[in-house]
Amino acid sequence: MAAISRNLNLRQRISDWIFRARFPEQPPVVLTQRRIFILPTRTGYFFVLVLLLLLIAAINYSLSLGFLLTFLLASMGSVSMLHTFRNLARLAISPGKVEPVFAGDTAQFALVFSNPGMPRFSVGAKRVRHDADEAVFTDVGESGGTTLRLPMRADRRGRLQCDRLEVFTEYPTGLFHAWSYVDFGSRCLVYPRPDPGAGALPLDAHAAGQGNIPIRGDEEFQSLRAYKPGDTPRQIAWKALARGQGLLVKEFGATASADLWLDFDMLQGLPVEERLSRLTWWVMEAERAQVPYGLKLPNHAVRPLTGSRHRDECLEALALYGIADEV
Amino acid sequence: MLNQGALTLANITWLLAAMAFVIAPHVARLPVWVSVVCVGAGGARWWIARHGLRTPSWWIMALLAVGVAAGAWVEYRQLFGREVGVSLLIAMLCLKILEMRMKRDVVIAIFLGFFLAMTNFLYSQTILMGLYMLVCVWIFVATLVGFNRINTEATVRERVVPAFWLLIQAIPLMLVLFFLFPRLAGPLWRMPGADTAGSGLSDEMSPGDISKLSLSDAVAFRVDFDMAVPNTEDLYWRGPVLGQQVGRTWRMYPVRAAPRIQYDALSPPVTYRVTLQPSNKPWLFALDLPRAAPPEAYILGDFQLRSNTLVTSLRSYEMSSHLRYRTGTSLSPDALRPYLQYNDDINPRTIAYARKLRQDNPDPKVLIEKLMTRYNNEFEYTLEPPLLGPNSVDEFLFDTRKGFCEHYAGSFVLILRAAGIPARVVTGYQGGEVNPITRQLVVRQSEAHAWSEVWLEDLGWVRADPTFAVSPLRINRGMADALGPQGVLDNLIRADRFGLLKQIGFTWDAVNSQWNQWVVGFNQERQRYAFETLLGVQDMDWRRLALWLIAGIFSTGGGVGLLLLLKVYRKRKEPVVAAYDRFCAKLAKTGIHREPHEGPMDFLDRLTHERPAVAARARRVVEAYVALRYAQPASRTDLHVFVAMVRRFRIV
Repeated sequence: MAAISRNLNLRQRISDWIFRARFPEQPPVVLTQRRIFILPTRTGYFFVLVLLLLLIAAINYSLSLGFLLTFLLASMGSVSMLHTFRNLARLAISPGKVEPVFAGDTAQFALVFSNPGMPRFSVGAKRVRHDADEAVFTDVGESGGTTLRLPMRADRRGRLQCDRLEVFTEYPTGLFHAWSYVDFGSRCLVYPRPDPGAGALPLDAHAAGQGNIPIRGDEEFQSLRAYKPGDTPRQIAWKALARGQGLLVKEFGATASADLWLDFDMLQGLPVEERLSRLTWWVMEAERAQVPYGLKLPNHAVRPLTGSRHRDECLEALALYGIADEV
Repeated sequence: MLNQGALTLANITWLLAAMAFVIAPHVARLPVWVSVVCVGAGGARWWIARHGLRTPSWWIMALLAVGVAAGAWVEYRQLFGREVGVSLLIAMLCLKILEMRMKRDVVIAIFLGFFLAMTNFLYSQTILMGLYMLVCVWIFVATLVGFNRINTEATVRERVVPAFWLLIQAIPLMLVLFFLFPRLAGPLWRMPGADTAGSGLSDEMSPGDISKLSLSDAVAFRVDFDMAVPNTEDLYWRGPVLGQQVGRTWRMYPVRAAPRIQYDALSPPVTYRVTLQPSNKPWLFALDLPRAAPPEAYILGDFQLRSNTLVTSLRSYEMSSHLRYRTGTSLSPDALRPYLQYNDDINPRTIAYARKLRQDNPDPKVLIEKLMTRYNNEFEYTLEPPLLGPNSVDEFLFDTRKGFCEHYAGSFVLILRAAGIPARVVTGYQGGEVNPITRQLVVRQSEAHAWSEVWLEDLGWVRADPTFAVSPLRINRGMADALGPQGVLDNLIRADRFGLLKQIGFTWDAVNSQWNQWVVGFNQERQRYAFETLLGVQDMDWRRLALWLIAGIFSTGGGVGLLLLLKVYRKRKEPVVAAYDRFCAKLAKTGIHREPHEGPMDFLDRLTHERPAVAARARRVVEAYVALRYAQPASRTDLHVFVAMVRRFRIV
């Protein structure tokens, strides 16, 4: 155990020293030999001990074939260092697209490997400084590419920073650990966790406050307007389209001012995060119900609409509310 | 990083197979119950992996371990020593495999497997054993590679091929280490009980002992003569001298070492070098009579050579002998008395016959002559003599009259002693076969022989070989001619004297001899010799050796490393592109050149306009190329199909 912790400390120090001011880097990063480090694993040190015992046995019983066996294994171990190194060398790595997630879910950071040469096996990746993380592994075929998805728990809303990553391998013998660091500064947008405690959409609140209630059920067809991106197919006036009038959208409800406004200030008396969570829940609910909704935050407002793009805009605003370096 | 998924059925099966391979040579030596434990534990582990069961709990394992240790105690009455050590290692390793839960356990099992490979060399260091263990190591490394494939299961090819290259690339460095690593003169500490029986002559002789040895074609020793090889009838390789008769058995007297031996040489000395195979016995062999003992050995009063220690590894020594000699007549009656002793309660007919013979022939020389004539006329030489009862010599001499050298030597000495003439049995080897390739004389266990020495008052000890009287061929031409073909392959080789088998046999022996000299017998002395002759370095001391070793490691390691890494850094054309280029080259031969900027479909278009006939044939290839290169990732078979398509492409 001592060996392994020393090992990690050493790696950590090397990492810190080398990457003092160079990150994040421009993709793709090619793992050149300057960037690849290699040290024996715990198994590797154990193997050296085994070799010593074999050597003593060979000397003591003067077994020439024992010497041959010992030296064959020792050489095999040394050669395997090159094989392990070679398993990483010249791999090119770029960051992949990262899909936003809700807080509490798992973000998937993607690393895209492309391999100009021979096939690579069991190439792993994990976050530096996160020893509890399970590493993930992939093979990279000859002259091919592959995407490695690195799961990372998103605990809080905002932007989840993918820390510096260690790309490593111990293939083929497990006697050596070859590794390199990459850091593209990739970030994952983390929406607030939707809080079902928010309950039904706050339609009543609006009725009380403003007198305009867009109620589904007794909705009345009002007018047609031109299609805007973000409108759902259900709103499209298919008959009008069939008549050759172009892409029109039916508008329902009382008046335009009757739109549902999800307002931060509606949730007085709750902590900020709680409010954001409830707003998130409502955004999802309203989107599902296809009720046009707008979002009002103290510093930001999104005009009422529906559609996934609109939803994402609202969710992003919620995710980044009050986070210093954003918007 | 260590994941449990590594203990898949395939991986476990590989590990079990590797273990089976490395244990197999031990099985004949192991107690049966150890083999049963191994098969049981291995089978159980396989079943566990097959059905995804849990491995046995620790207390079951502890019980099993105690059981194995107790079994070893009952079997061997000790827990230290070579035999018991190997048995315990094997049994415990099998139990370890049974309880493997994590990748770490697997690694330990594989490393212990390397120790098992080493233990096989305690018993045999032949070329075949070396090759077999190389295969075992290969399987072990393949297993290790399989266990290090973390996310996907490795195919057989993906295990065997990387392991093959790992070992092939390790060989240069291995050779450097083997020849340059400093060798010690002796062991670090003495091991108790090298308790296996080696093959070879022992310190006693009962009827059947030597005929059993004669069935073995194993090499006893090899001899390099500095001069022409003496005639076969002079090649008596002296070994244990047996003077004491106990029932049917002849034993050694406890003879004291002679401070110096004296005899009159009647011929110039013959000098030669003997390379003795390990026998686990103290005897060294030399031609009758040796002049002096080699280093680390001494000579007894009855002219037999003994090593200070048992010959447990290949032993080489310089010798010189006089083939014609007179031992002198200075022995006192007291010194001769032991050689007149015999059991007079058995073999009454023989004793009566001997006494009668002496009465009729007072002169010992005449008596011996008579006796030899009788052997020659009435006896038959055979490897398969009839079984004899308690009065074995009586039955042999007067009833069966069929026997082997030990019957002749034993009965001859008994008759002489009963007739009052001092005599003794000498065992050793007679003859040998010259390998025409190495010019070495190879002496095999099948050449084991027993003859007798008679004390004559005016000559001293004189060799008398009654077998020679019975079957002169045995002595003049060798065993193969004396016995005729025996039916087994080895004897077949001996039977066809100048045929192909003989040639193969000689070549094989020459290879074995080189193997013994440069591999098995490679010691401090050999190392120094190699430095002097091959590298021209005199006065090799350990410091120079260390420098050479370091230089060797770095140059070889660097060379291998460069070659290995070049493979990564060399720009490799994708096989698909390479095949397409070959296709374009074929077209270019007929004057249709693809422009460097021209894509495959553009090229095909132009081809269709310019050479419609060719284009019709080329279309298939180009389309396959486009599909392979730009559509879905190509499988290996798709690639092979494409390459074959390009190969078959002809422009008529």
